[in-house]
Amino acid sequence: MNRYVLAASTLSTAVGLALAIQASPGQAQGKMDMSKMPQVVKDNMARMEKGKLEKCYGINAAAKNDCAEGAHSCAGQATKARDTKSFVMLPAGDCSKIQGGKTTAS
Amino acid sequence: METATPSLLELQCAMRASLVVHDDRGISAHVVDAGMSPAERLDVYRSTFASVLTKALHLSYPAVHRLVGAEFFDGAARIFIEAHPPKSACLDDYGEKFADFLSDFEPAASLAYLPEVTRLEWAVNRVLHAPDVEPLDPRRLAALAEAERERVSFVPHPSAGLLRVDHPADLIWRAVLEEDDDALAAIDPGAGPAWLLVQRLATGVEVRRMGESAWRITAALFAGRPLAAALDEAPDTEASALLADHLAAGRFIDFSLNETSA
Repeated sequence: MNRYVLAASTLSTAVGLALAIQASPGQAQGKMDMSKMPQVVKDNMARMEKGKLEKCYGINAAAKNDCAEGAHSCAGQATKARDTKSFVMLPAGDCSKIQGGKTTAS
Repeated sequence: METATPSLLELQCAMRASLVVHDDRGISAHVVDAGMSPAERLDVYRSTFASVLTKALHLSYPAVHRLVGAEFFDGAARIFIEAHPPKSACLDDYGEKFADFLSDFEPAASLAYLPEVTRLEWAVNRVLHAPDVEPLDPRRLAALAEAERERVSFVPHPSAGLLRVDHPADLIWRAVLEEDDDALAAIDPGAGPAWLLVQRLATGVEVRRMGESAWRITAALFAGRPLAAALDEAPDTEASALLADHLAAGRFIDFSLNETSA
């Protein structure tokens, strides 16, 4: 089978499958079939539904531009940014929880 | 007055110099000097500029923030902001170069996986804020003649993205955001490459691992290459189930027919 015939037959099969998937009950277009997902993905989605990841990513342009969400009150009290170049910095967060992940310079 | 009134553009350029490179020479003569000196007044804007952009980076890169800690993150962000001030007024578009910056940032050199976690978070960020576009209806493809089916190439949905990583950036990203210390402890940061699909679902953003062959075919399709050429990426792969999954999940928005097939 030459590559173009293969492409045509792959597409034909795929379209048939896709229409069948979309026609199956509870399968709205654009959503994935949960029953075919690995457990870890199901767990992950369940957690996302509980709002865990939205807490980190559930943001929009308005929130980022919102003065009330900023590091200061917008009233002008914060006149000096910290000079961060002057102190030695080492990563000091969750990276230390990864075994074998070094946090000191090698 | 001898001095001509500056144009708006001149004022904006002078203000920019004050904000970004802390050069007040052009602007201070045009700032009210009452109660607070012009330098102190400009400091308010400088501080706001830096803190809002730092906050924007924090919101776009929450896993990186947790991995390195707040102090390190803020320090790295301030240096990044000076080197890469925003080019767009939309803060969601800010920080694309943060991964490249961190990969060259000496204090972060010990965390080899950090640039890839950063890249993954940017992909998540792009997918999250991608416009809603109606997906391609597979019935449009079903209506094609046999000869036309040989010549199809696709337009990917903006809410789907691909990323190849050398470190298990997806496992690190997930474990950090879920505050799963056991999962973090179980991660081998040196564990081989992974081929990732990042997509927005009705329920949130998902990062899923793909097989290398499936990823390569998908990457070719997302790049707009014809189906026949994409299948050449992994000739031994049975791709119809993969393509069906993409179509059913709405990962394409349109298709076109290439000029020649032979």
